[in-house]
Amino acid sequence: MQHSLNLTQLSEGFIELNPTPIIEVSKKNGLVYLNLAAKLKFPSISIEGMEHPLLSGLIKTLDEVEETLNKLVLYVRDIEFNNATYEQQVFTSHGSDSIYISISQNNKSNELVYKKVQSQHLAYVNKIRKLTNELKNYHHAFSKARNHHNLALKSANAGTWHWNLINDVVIWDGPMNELFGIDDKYYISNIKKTAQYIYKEDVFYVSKKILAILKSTDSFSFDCRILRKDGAIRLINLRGKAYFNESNEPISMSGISIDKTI
Amino acid sequence: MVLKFVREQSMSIESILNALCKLSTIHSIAALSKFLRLPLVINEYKIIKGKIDINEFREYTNHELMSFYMPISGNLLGSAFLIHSSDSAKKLCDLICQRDQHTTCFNEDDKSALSEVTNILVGNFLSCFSQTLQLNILIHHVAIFDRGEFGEILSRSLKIKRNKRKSIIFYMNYAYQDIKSSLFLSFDERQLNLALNEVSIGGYKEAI
Repeated sequence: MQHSLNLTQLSEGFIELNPTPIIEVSKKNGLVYLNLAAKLKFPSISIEGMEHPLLSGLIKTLDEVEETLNKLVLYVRDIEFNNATYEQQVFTSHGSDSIYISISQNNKSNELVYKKVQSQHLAYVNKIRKLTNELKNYHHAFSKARNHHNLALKSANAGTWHWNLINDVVIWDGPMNELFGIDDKYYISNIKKTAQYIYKEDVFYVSKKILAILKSTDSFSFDCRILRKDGAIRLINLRGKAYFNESNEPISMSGISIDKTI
Repeated sequence: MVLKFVREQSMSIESILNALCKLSTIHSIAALSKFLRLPLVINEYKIIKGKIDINEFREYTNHELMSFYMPISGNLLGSAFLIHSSDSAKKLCDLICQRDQHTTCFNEDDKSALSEVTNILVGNFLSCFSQTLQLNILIHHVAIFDRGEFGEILSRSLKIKRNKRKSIIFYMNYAYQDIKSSLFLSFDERQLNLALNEVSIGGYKEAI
């Protein structure tokens, strides 16, 4: 029978052979033991003792922990030494004088990759923050401009409208809704439903006007009566223009409506 | 001709459970110690079979507690919950958020900090647990925050539990000065026993 010898498995029973640096410290007397790996990796520890960067401040930190007899105390920390980062695992227990320390080096290549990913992540986060702030500023500016726009229209008893002829979508803004007695912030519908707001006796006249407008690129202006949602009749002036594509087909109309009712 | 070798030593289920509990506890507390940059005392770790007896946890009775509950899924079904007393949780938040003044009430940042502590403890416990038992997947889900007395929290957490089968509970308690908390990890007993049986047979087979 042949068994392959695994050095790590073998060294588990022999601290001296363990490739991980292992240090034992006495709370009263300082440095007690270094295994072979610790001596080779950190030769100056034998001379500097508890003043060595890997050990300094350790006993003081452990003393801050409340005394609970025979309970295991565990402390893991990263220490930077000689341009490398080491993870220190410290085991001790209250009532015992010994502190057992094992030290492993954080894998440098992983650390570099991690730092790169971290800095990329940070760059993305900053970019998103910047874009979010810009978006907030734009939104704020847009809100301000819209409020000014609405105030100006309200002051003039006017509202704006747009009719997309391709999709048959009619859009009114807030002041336009107020003109027609509609509560909603925006009105979106089609021309058939919108025509219900034109006073019955003016429907034929308005239809003729629109047909003429759709054949001309000139601006238009005409008056007609409307029927508000609350049943009131008002006189409005419709002004605007039709827009055409390259084949001279009308694609949309836009304009304003001003309340002329005395 | 095939010659099979079976390792002579085999571990009993009990001893594996105890070793598993100790190893995973040390692993998770080590991770938390590194996160907090503080030494932590492992006050207790043990295995509870069946129900949790509230009388065993007198230190938590008559105190308002904060808890974080998280379901566990994957090769083993289970759940975890971490409890702190309100005072202890406030001091832990002070430490994590590096505040000079004492935390008086819990905002979203504080809950997030405590949730992170739960993630670290449970995540590292499961990592060691699954590696030892050679389980492929053990996932812990988002922590659910709860507040109340120990009995109330326990019954609410048990109601969330996905099935009513018997459990094996791993318990640990750690402290730093007057900050103390307890973690309970509960696993389906039948599933865990199956996994443990695989490990306890042990050995290796070598063909010549």
